[in-house]
Amino acid sequence: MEKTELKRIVDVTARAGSMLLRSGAEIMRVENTIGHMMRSFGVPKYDIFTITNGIFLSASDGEEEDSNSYTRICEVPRNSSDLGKVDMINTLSRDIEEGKCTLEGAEARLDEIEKAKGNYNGIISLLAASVASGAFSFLFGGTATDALLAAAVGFSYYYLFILLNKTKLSKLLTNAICGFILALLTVGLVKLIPDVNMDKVIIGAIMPLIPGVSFVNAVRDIAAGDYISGAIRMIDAIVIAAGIAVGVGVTLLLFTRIGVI
Amino acid sequence: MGLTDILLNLLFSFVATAGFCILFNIPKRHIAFCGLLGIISWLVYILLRSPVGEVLATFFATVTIVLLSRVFSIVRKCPVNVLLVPGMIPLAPGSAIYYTAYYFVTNDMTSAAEYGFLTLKLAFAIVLGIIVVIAVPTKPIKKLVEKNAEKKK
Repeated sequence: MEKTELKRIVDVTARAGSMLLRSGAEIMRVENTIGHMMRSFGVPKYDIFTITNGIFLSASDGEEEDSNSYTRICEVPRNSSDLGKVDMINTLSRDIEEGKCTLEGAEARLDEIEKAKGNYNGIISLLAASVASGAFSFLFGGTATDALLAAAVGFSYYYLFILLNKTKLSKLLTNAICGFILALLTVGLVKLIPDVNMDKVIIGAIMPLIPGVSFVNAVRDIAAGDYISGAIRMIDAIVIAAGIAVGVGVTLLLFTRIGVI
Repeated sequence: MGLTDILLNLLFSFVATAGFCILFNIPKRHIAFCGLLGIISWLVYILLRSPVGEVLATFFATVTIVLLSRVFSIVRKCPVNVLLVPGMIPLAPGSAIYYTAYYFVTNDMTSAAEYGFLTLKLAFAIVLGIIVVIAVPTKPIKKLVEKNAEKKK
């Protein structure tokens, strides 16, 4: 195997792996995908070590003294949940395994996946967050009015959430600010409109912030024996949950002290 | 619980889960199915909640959903997480977290501790539910799915 070819294979697999990791795949899947791709491209010897925010990857084309080898370390910064990308890379890896996709094809498709804007535009996500908030408010025992208000609150603060996610603000602060604002909006609405259950509105509206992907991945990593990664993700989930609780708590504290609620 | 109540619960658990699918950027072809999983997890949860309590209800709902997402991820050829994460969303202990924070700031420490521990218990129920089913090796599940597929042919 040519040295340049080996390098290209390692680069492609590393890219696929780090995109998987960033979009919310569990460690086991990342390592298996990289392994499948390496074997399909004919790399005889490789080692992979993955944790939540990095991939260490080395490959060589044989055991001999003059065999080529190549090593890469990828930093995988701040993750965002995008299960659509996980699905796309999964399909790509299947195609490679079945021999339907060459190395060049894989490079092109990874470019495509990386550039993919997402299946839904901003307005649709806002509406989704709003509808989900309203529906959860009802499921947790809210009345029709509570559900409608939760939908309205969900719609308005989720816009802020999308904006804050584009900045480099920490997750704790992002979620605390969103929690603060959503509770503030709810308290305002509760004062304006009679017969509203404040708790049901807030519970519905905080649901879109719940760190579902981090939590599920944390548990899956721990179940698979990847304790370090599981612990990192579990802390991530706890930090987000704490952020929401702090944000909502500060608003409630302020207004109970003033005596408004 | 009357029939209309149950129907409304089914409808709203579907809508809520489908909404989450969009937030997680899950492709359109999976959304209806994920919504169905959301309905199933919510149905198992509310049906078991009064007889066995919410912690055990959460555990059994989790086991059901993890099992279903493992089976159907093979059938639908997609990663388990694409089905599992939305399906689990209705079980997220959002209300327990809220009441913990609420009683904490209103200085009702007994209730705060009660809800804090409830949050932990619910989280553990989910953790155990996932771990129990993930521990089942993939091969028998795959065999089962393939057998059924052959039967259909």
